[in-house]
Amino acid sequence: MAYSERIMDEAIAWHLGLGEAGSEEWRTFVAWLEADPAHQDAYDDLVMADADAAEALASVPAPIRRKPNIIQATPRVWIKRSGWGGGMLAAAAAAWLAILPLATPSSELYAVSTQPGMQHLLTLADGTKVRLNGDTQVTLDHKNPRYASVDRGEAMFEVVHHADHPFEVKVNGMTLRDVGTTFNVRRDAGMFVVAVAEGSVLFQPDREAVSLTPGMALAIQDGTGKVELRRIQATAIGSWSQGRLEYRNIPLADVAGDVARSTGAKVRVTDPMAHQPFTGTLRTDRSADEVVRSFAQLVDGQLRRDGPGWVISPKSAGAS
Amino acid sequence: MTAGLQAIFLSERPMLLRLLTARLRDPDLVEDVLQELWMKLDVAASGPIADPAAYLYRMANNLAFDKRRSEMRRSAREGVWLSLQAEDGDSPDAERVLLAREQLQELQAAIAALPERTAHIFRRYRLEGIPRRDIAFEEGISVSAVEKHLKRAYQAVQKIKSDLGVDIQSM
Repeated sequence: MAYSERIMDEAIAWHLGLGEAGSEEWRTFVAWLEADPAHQDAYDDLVMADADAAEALASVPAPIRRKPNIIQATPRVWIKRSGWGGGMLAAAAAAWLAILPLATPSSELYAVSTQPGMQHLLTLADGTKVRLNGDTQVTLDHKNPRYASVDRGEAMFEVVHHADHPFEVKVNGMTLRDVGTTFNVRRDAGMFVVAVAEGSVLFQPDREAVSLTPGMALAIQDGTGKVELRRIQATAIGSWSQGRLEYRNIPLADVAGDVARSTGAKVRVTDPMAHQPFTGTLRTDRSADEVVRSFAQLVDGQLRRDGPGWVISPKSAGAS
Repeated sequence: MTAGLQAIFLSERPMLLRLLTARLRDPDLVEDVLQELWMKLDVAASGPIADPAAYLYRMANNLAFDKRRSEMRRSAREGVWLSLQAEDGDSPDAERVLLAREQLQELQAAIAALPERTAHIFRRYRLEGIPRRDIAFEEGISVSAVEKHLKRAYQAVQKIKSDLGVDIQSM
């Protein structure tokens, strides 16, 4: 019953992959099994070991795990320079999370950023949780744990409320003040949107002081400062952190932007179609290619490769 | 929908047979499992299935696993009886006895010997059923990094199995 480590690794790769496998992959798996009795032994041993390991795990309590402070435990610290040099770019591609210290005398700011397709959960000293979506940067302050700014991308805040020390989020020079809250902040090209899932948020507390309650979203255009209030489903807010993207009448171009952020796959929707409203749910807890394919299917578009990315266009455009 | 699944079953039957043969190596058992699979199609998922052929392969592979598992248990139970003259096989504790104590302890030791994070990820995935994507999120790492941890954990547990496999066969 001897088999090599290579075969063992192949069996493990199959075992981990079969959960999501399509029919073609299953047929390839059958061919792999048939190719060598050692493959069959290795796979059989593995699935039996897998079941036994589950029993072994169930029969002992989970060890207590010292939860490291994510920020300090992350060894990749980059000093921000005027731009990314070639070497820095390669280094940044290898690291998905970059932390940039931006110290000034009065505060100890640092930036945390994610690459497209990645998510990251930060727990601040006061217990407030900040979930970063992909391609996102927030700036935090070591000296003031009740401060955050969303510089780029999208973040979901679950704020631990202190009546005498409110949590403030800065976006593009504007202030959001929590009143015991879960809310989502999105920084897109040319605008930002804040949406409240629980509790409430004060927008510009020292000026307009607009109070936002669950299910309300406020969109502010960058240049003009034009403000638009929208109603959205409170349960859909921040659904990206659960591997879903939920929409009601949202232009396809915006949906494509979210897909890119959540999966890392560059998707573009061509022009007449980009403005078409989309209502539905996209699951993102699978590979980027699968998400893009099912997105194209849902909107009945034609999908094609475009360099490293994808383009979705109306089906009729392809037919002559 | 069910009729559609049955049609797919018929067209995929040769490939399903090959899968089961590779897993079970016993033509009679393979026929039994194919029959069982066919019967299950009547009560199978009623909603639309994205890839019905893949769905059938998964069902067949799960049934093959169940067969192999009960086979292993039977041989382990016989082994335990021989060595311990042990408890009634129908007692609620039977499952515990079935997995020979020695092997259970070895597996626990192997998992405990893994790096802390690897052991944690394995537990989250295998025992608590947390999807890889969610684990990646909790740990602040990529899905492929989670898969690397799982791979390492599986290497450790499979080593135990392949070493012990010889013993079990000789009982």
